[in-house]
Amino acid sequence: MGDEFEPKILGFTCNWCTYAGADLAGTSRIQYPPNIRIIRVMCSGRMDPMFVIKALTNGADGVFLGGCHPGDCHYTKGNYYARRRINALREILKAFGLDERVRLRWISASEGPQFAEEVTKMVEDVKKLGPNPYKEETL
Amino acid sequence: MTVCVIGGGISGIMAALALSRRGTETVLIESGETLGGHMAEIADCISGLEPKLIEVEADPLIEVITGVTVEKIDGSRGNFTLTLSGGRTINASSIILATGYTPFDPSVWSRYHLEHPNVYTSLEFERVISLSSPTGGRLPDGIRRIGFIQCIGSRDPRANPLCSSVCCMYTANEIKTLKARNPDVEVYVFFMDIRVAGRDERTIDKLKREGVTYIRSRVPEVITDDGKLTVRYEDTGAGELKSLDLDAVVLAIGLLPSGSTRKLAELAGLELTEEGYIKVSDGVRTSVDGIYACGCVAAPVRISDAVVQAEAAASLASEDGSPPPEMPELIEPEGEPAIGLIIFTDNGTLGSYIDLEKVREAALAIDGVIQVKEVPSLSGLEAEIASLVKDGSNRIVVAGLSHRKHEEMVRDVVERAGLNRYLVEIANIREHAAWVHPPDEATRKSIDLIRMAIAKVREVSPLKVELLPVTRRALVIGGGVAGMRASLEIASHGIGVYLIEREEKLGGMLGESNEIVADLIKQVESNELIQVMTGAEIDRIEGYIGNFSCTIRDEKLEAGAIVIATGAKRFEPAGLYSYGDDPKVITQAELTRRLETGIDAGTVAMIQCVGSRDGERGCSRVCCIEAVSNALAIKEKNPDTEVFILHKDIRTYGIYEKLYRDARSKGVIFLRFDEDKPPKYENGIVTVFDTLLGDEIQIRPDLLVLSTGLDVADRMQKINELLGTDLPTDKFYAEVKGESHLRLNPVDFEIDGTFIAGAIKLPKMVDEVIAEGIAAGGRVCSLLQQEAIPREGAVALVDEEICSGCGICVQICPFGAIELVQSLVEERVTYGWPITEIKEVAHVTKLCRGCGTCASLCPSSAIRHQFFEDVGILSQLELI
Repeated sequence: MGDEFEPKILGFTCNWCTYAGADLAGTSRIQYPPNIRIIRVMCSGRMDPMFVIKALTNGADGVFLGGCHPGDCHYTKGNYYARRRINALREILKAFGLDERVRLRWISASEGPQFAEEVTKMVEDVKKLGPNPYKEETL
Repeated sequence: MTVCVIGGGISGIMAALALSRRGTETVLIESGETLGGHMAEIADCISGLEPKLIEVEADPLIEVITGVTVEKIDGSRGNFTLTLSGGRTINASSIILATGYTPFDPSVWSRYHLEHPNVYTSLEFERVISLSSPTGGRLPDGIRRIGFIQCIGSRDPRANPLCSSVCCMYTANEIKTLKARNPDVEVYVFFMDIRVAGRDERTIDKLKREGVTYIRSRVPEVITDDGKLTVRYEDTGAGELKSLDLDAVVLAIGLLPSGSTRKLAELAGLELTEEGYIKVSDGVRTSVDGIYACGCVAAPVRISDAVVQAEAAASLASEDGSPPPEMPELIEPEGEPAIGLIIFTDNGTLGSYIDLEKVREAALAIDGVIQVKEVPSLSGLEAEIASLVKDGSNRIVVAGLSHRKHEEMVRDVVERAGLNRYLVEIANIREHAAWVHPPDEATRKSIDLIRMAIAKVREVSPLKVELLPVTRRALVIGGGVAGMRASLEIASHGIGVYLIEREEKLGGMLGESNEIVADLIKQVESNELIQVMTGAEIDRIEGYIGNFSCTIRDEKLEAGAIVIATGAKRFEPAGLYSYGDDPKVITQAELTRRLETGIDAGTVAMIQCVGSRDGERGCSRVCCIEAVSNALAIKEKNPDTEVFILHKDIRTYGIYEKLYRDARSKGVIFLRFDEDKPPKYENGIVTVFDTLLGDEIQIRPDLLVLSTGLDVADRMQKINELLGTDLPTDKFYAEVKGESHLRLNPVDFEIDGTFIAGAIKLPKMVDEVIAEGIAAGGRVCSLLQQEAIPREGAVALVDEEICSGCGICVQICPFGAIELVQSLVEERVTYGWPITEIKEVAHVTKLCRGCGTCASLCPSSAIRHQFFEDVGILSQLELI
């Protein structure tokens, strides 16, 4: 691998859709970069902006959030709250130049390839952005 | 007593699980080597099927026997003896047949050239587009244009005169998957009629908008010339013979009765239909008492309908089972977390993906880990976890399983080992690491995932699983066929029912003049356990699973579960086709009533899809069958009456295709009009542009019959009001949810403890409604037979001290599970004495399902999502 920058991506996925999508990517043996670590929550509605900020200040180079497609939420509408919240957070992150490091995607249980694809894309994009500039300062 | 389920496809699996839920011991027999049936062959269906397979495997009440066939069936209800091919015999009180279907083999016909490498059957094509194919679902090079031919081995008197019901939609699903993995491919579909309803109809509309060409055609034929593929067909729109060059062809093969079904029917002496399906009444009862049928053995059905039948068959077959075994006294974890780690090696295969020795070493070095054990199979989990707990572990981490697929099972095992079921966490090092990354990196990631799981499990505390008391009574809303049948099913298991009907009489949409309805009314009214309330409008429903309370006028009814069977209303065609002004214009329902006494008309014209499939409302499914059977009734009484049916598609699904064929042979004339050119009715003359003829036709009918669709708007509105749901009112429930959500729990409604059946879900024929009523009733029974209902432990909890009573959580909770209450709170102030005061705080009710949305939205951080607490999540993400 050499000295190439390998970003650390923290993932939050809901239990019902995106987590299962990642499972399907696994069952189908679709290879994707190993940079992501997933924390499972029950619903994307549980994704607290505080988690995202903590992750970024803790040294994550990117945060990937995954939930059910609109209208398909296991809990009816948690994903709508997630979307609203993350959009608001993004506005704030813009001020710090961190908004591109946070990504919210809808991936269903049957979308294994999409999961692998999105993670691959995210890793590539964060590689281009370089390391998270706030990593050191907060230590 | 044991129930024997024959056939290990999805119907058999779901029947076995439904039986076990009710405490009935079950033997599941499968002739193949593995369970799963045809569902396992469908691209990516595995994500739905796999959890069920795991459930069956881990279920102590289900014995699975594979690789055997049934050779002999003796005895009768209550005492059957089945002799298996190995010689073993099984005693069973009832038998459920779920032997599925055999896909039609098109190689018997040379006209489709199945020998050509690029001609696939739809099942073969599932493998081509499956992610687990060698190309990951990408088509072989050189395939840019692909054609799907519908009705291969269906609606064809030479092979199978019936409609297979499922092919229109499975083709659409295949195209969806195909396009997702091969966006540039051109797709053509050769079809006669599109037969889908609900959300599926929108899926097909979307495919059309995205450029899939649907060609209405007849007798397509595949021609191979020097390896090139051409489809020649009669374009019924243009009325001419055409041909289209393609690179590949997919044959949408139909579903035929399976060979084993016939053999079993002979062994058990069951009656068959002329097509070779098992003859059933009530959707699932065979001609022999004590033997039931579910899935495709009685007619081709979709998975959700097969599961309805499986639930219904299980309910009829089950006798009240024994209560679940007593749980051991739980150990209170004391002192520091002592973590026992299990690595599930998947029969040793995990070791070929990651370096297990390294993982083990790294895990042992983590603070708090006291033991690491490897377990090769799921069945070994029980003993290993028990021994870990015995040796002093008070927290467990299982690496190598998936939260989504295994969590509940693992929690059960942990509980049986004497530890609180929430003191375990999973590290998914198989699906999320070993299988998707190169060995070195996968090993590193696995160690990280285990670290994260350990960090979390250190922070979790035992959660109390509250046992909710159960009111052993059910509330059934709606006195139509579905509601009455559900009530009878519940009562037959000794549970009381309140049956509420808004109208003055029972009978619902079909009305008491219908024979089946009249019989149901008689049974319901004479059943002591069913308390019927007619002319009763429900004012309010409160409570939660096991403990609902329903207010009607001044009366309060307590019930443990609710069945919603409010049915649908006929669409009122006021103003359309002069309905209401011209006495010659009537609705199909009115015609049905008039036919009881006979009609006097030389010419009858029927217009389909009035108030359905109009852009707003979807297909009502029953109107085509109703129209065709009324047309047949007219012809039967007076063969000289001219009957015209003006339609968009003729949707006589499954066995009802027979009616369509009969109607055509008896001279009923079918004229197809285009969606954008509906027929007109002026001065007593119907004018229609017939697409087959390509010209206008005028008819002067003595009766113009409007086949009106069904409408649920007022019913949905009422349900939303009573249960606090937020469902769109212009759609049937199944249209809102879609097959993918309903497939494996087809009668479950939004709120725990509530179930849905009948036309409010989706319009259906009476037999299907009856099966659905039984299924919903069965689900109620398995719920209410419990002495108490264990409630999800990982729910929200309010810290009343911090709560400011702002009420934001009350508004956002998707289940209306939070309310503001006055509470006596001991509050500390920064200086001075602790004071106690009454203040308004949020209170989480038993409706909470544990999504955690409120916890992340609370401005005061006063709500904790137990098991997913901030501290646990933060300790995981700190490891990054």
